[in-house]
Amino acid sequence: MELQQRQLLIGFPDTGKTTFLAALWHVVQSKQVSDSLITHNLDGDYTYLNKTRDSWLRFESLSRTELRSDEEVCLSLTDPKTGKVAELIVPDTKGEAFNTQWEERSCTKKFYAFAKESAGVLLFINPDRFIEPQWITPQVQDMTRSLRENPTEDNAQSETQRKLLPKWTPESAADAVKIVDILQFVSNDPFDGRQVKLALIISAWDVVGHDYKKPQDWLQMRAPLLHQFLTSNRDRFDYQMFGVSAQGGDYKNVEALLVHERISDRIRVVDERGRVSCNITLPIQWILGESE
Amino acid sequence: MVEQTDSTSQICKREDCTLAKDGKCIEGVSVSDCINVQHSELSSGEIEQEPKPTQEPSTTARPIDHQLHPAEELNDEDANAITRDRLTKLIIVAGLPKAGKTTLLVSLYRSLLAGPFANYNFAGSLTLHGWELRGHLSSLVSDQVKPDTERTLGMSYLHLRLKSCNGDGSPQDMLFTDITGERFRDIRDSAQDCREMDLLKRADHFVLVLDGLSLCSQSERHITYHNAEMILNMCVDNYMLGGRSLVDILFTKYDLFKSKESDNEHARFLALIETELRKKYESKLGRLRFFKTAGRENPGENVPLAFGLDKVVPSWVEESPTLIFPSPIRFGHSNLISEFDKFLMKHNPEFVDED
Repeated sequence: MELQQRQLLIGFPDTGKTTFLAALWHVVQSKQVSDSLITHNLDGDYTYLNKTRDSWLRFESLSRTELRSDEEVCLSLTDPKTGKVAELIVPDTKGEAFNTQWEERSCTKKFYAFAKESAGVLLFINPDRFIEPQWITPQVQDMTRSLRENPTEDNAQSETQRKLLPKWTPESAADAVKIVDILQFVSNDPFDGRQVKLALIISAWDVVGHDYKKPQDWLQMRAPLLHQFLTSNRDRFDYQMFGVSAQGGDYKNVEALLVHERISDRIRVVDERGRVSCNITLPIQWILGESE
Repeated sequence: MVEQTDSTSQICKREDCTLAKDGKCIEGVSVSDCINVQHSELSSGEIEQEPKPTQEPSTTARPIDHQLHPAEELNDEDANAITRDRLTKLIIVAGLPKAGKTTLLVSLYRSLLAGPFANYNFAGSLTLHGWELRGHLSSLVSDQVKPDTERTLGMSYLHLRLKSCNGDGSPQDMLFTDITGERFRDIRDSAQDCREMDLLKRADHFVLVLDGLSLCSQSERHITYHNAEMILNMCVDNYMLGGRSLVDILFTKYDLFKSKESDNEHARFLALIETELRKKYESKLGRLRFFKTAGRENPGENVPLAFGLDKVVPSWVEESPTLIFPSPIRFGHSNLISEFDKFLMKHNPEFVDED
């Protein structure tokens, strides 16, 4: 009897989920990468996946208008050696539902139900668009003072001016804070205290991979709050980090990508040991218990 | 586009959808699942107009939603739920208005955003919105010319969970009070108000914040000092603080008054405050300590963010009156009849309860 396990793929908008899915769909269909998972029981509608894969094969970025507002994708994959099956659910490809979770403190019951039945989570972070905290430090004050027309102008703002300043909105929080909040919710509520198997995927790895050897190095430097949170909660989160470049590089330099005879070879996946492969199913396999 | 049926109409919001012509969704989704399709019951012959867009309040929960916890701040009930559930340290941050209480707390949060602090890792918070809101006027998105902190209104709790970087031990939950300075002004003025603040008796740590910059001003320093002392005095005299209370006095805004340290007069005044407060209160409290702290950085004066808190936070995490002063076993008076019992009554009356 096959072991079937549900995995949830989540992330805020523009975190590389769609490109990952496109590359994943190609790999599991084409079987070009040895040791990768393959498709299992093709009995659904794959229009969306085929559309995204076509764009990926043409080295084209998929525009946001081509994505439906709350696209939900379901994909069944299997390891041909062990017969284990992973059912990958993407409840919201655009990622806007996670903004709602952070900002409005609610999620759909559908997402909640998916999470409750899941054994693991793939969480995407885009290092190229990652928003870090930015404070009004003395250096910043000096800089703005020097840019002002009247450098001797009093720093004080009038009460009227202060009233016109932007009020706080949850949207303005740094990304690491939002991700911690989502993970706290997932662990406390739908997972209800069960340990969450978490594959943290640093997408667009080609953009930052030359600065950081391993994905955990990036996390420690650029998202220290999240790094601390995961380190302190190993009882709640069994996690592994992966740097993934599903595109293989910038599409502006597509010539560098065209050299690959097998198009799957352009994919790059870096694990915590710094090992590099083209097997984009590695994070899924790890959650499934198939790899180290 | 409208398709009329006997009892229902199906309208697709997409203009290019062929639903009306052939009953099929252009995106290949079943009509019942497509989010662009609107279903409505109409009487025969009636055509439904496209509803006018209405402004939905962003905080209105739809019936299909699952609610997450609010995350802004905790009230008494929320705080009690946490303390019932797990061992939690309660830190009461006291002081008059504009002393720098909230700025100091936010500096702790800001430090954790950048990495471990005082050898502790951030392990979670149930009030992330609350921390972010209070730090807003110090962030670039606020468009402030210089950093500031919103005035606190009312009373609430902020939550943090910290874990030692050494890996030993479980994470420790901490509740910090964020109380308006006006409340402490009331406590200073009224014994009744002081006694009504039951929370004071439950505090693991009582932190009294004095505006260090005001203490530099010849015209302001005496009123700043003595008003703060009055708060302490009221709490002690009304038994809200006592022999098991762990009290820290923080002189805030060190980033602004460090430059005056070379001024002997200022240094002497701070020393005078410490001497006088120790003389009056040290024997009445479990512990009394003094620290200089800064809620903002000043690189020019070599004052980092949260200066001074690294010396005091570890004890907030690790220590409590229960650990430092274990409660003695107490005996009812009427039970003491032997010579040994009489010895106890005479020499250790604190262990004896009147029946």
